[in-house]
Amino acid sequence: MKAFFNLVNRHLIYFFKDKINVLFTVISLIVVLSLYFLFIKDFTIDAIKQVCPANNIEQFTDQSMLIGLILVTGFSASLGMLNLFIKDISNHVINDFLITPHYKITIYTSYLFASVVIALLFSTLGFFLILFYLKNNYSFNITTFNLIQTYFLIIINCFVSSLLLMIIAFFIKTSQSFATIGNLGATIIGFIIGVYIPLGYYPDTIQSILVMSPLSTIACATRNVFTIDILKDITFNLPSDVMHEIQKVFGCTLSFNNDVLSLNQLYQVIFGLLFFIIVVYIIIQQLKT
Amino acid sequence: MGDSMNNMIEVKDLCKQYKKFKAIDNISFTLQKGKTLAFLGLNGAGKSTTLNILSTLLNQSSGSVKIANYNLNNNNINIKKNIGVVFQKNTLDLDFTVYQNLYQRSYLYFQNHNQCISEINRICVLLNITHLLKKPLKNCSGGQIRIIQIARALVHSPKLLILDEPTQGLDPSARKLVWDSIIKIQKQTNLTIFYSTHYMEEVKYADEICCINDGKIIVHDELKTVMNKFSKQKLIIEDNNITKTFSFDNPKSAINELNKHPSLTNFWYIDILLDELFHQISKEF
Repeated sequence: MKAFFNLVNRHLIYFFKDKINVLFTVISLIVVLSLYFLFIKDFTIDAIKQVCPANNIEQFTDQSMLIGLILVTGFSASLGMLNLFIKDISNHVINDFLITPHYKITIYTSYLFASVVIALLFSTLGFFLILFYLKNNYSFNITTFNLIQTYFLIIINCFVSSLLLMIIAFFIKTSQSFATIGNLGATIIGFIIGVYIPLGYYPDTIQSILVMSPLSTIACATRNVFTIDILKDITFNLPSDVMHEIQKVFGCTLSFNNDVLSLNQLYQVIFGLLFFIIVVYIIIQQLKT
Repeated sequence: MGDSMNNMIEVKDLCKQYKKFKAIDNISFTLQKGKTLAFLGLNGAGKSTTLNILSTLLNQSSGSVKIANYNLNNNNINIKKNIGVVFQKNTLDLDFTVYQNLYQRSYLYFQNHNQCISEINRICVLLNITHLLKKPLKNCSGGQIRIIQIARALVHSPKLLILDEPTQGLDPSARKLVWDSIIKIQKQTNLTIFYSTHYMEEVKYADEICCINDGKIIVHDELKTVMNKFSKQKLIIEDNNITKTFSFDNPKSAINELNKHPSLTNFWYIDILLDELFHQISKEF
């Protein structure tokens, strides 16, 4: 275990020594938040107001969309860290670790762990920023249990994002290709977790497919727990159908075969997919010689 | 070559196949403890593949490999404890200092701060690089980086040192520096050394030569035996402004040839053309 953390420490030092990499990871967080406030926010609120006349819909929109952006941050931060993994492979630096008396999985997983740490660090920073923003601009209220659940889901998101990127990284030879594929991935993920367009606007068939994507299900569950308190407030005097409709539109729930999945079912899907990805990761790293 | 207990490396019927291409074709050889073996071959001959298998980085397709009496694949962790590898390209972190590099890598073996420090001090004194410890690796010269790589490979006191073209890309003085360090270490620790090289003048450091071509071993013998068998001396004579070249198997024949030219103005006697050695071996097989 000591050797494992020594490797993780080395990767983290290397990441922070590369000032440009750190700067761009911070900038990407600022850029996604700015993009939301400049372009997406007003458009989304206008569209939602037409279908849902509830009060405080602006706060709900902010909460729902901003938490989605934090999930994308986890993915882009992992990308910066795992770039080191690709560099170490292409420069054969990893061979220097592979000849030490440790199992291959220990060496590879040290990169994965470092990636989760970096993703979590930037996601946490983003999470605090949005909590600060919500607290200052609205009468923000969330139960401690839901706040802990949200953070737990952010951790799961960082882990899944890193794991998925690590699996992709096994098949890539240069850091340039990895950056290109990663950026493309970040854009696609923006859509599949409903950052650019709320998931409710997608057809049911697409939603059924998105259930298979761990990042979509995590995003739904996170939105669900992060917005449930404000949603109860704003739909207090309205029929219960309105609450479900808002949850559907904002991607706080996902439909599978026209059945809306409950939070428990979303958790089951998340952990099922997580188990599947871990198995794929172990198999691929074993085959890599 | 010697009994099994005395062998550091035992390779038997080793094959490595990539789809239809045979990178290594049924090679067998042994290397005794404390000996140095030069592994020679052209590009694509199978040198690096063999070295990667011995370094546990690559799985063989068939055949068996024993290092320090441990079977490859069954005892890789024990093998890794007993080998130090110097790769052709730098595998250390350029942004770290020499000390950070050595500490980080040695920690992977010892997982103990005090032991790491004492082992780093030991190897740095041995290789005379203590003054470089605080220097960032990127500020070191090519020759220094290679010696630091050797220090890294030896920090855990392995029994076998594997070097993949250790002086590739270095100027002659840096090459000398690297080889002086390797020889010094070998003399002091009785280390077994297995190295591949392109530079034929570097075979003189070996006890044994092993030549590989198209994945097959074409020669494996003691250095002197190979030299006597394949090398030729050359005599170049300048007589009345005409230059003539003669090849000989021994110096006596060269003296006889010189006596035939009483009016020669100049002559050059070239003992062994090492670069030609490999070509002659290749031609013969």
